[in-house]
Amino acid sequence: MELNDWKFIKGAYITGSHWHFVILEKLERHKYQYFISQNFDSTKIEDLTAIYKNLLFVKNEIFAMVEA
Amino acid sequence: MNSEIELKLLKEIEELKRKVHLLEGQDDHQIPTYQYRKIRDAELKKLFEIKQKLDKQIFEQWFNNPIEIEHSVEVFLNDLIAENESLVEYYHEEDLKIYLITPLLNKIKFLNREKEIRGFYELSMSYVTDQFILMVRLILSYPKA
Repeated sequence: MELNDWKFIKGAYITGSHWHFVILEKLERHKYQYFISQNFDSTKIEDLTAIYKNLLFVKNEIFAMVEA
Repeated sequence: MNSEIELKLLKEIEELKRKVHLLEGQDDHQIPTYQYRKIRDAELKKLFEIKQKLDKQIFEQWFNNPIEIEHSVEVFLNDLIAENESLVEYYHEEDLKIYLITPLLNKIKFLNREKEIRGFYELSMSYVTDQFILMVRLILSYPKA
């Protein structure tokens, strides 16, 4: 974010079968706040479907950003 | 002890101390280098001001997306669970990457040759300032547009 001057970046961390999505927001140089989502259990079909859709959303966002 | 030998030993000790300081990033003439995997929370918070916020609203637009998935993807996801659910609690980090995470990311397919985009695995990046160097390794990233 410091290199590309983005304000938000999306990510995830995974512990075993459990996923949490994260948004990091840049407030100013070297100053950030971050948000952590609820847990998604990748062994449950509803949650895994949501994980898949959330990742696909990020992909679409990236492709749209590059096209713009 | 012979003073010449003593002097020589003292010089060797000083040289070793200097090398240890260099390895620990304590050399006065060198900017400290941190690796994200090894940096402690307290050290990271000295470099950046970073706080968690408890608001979940920020995820609304991302999670409530209108994306529909195809039947073939539903089948894929069900198969992924069936193959892994009884084993996942025994997986090490590398097992998790190979059996659960990579198949999912490959199904999403972040590769787009036309747009010159692809995913990166363990890409090393560094952020250099006049105060410190921070090295990170990214699991997924894409080239700067």
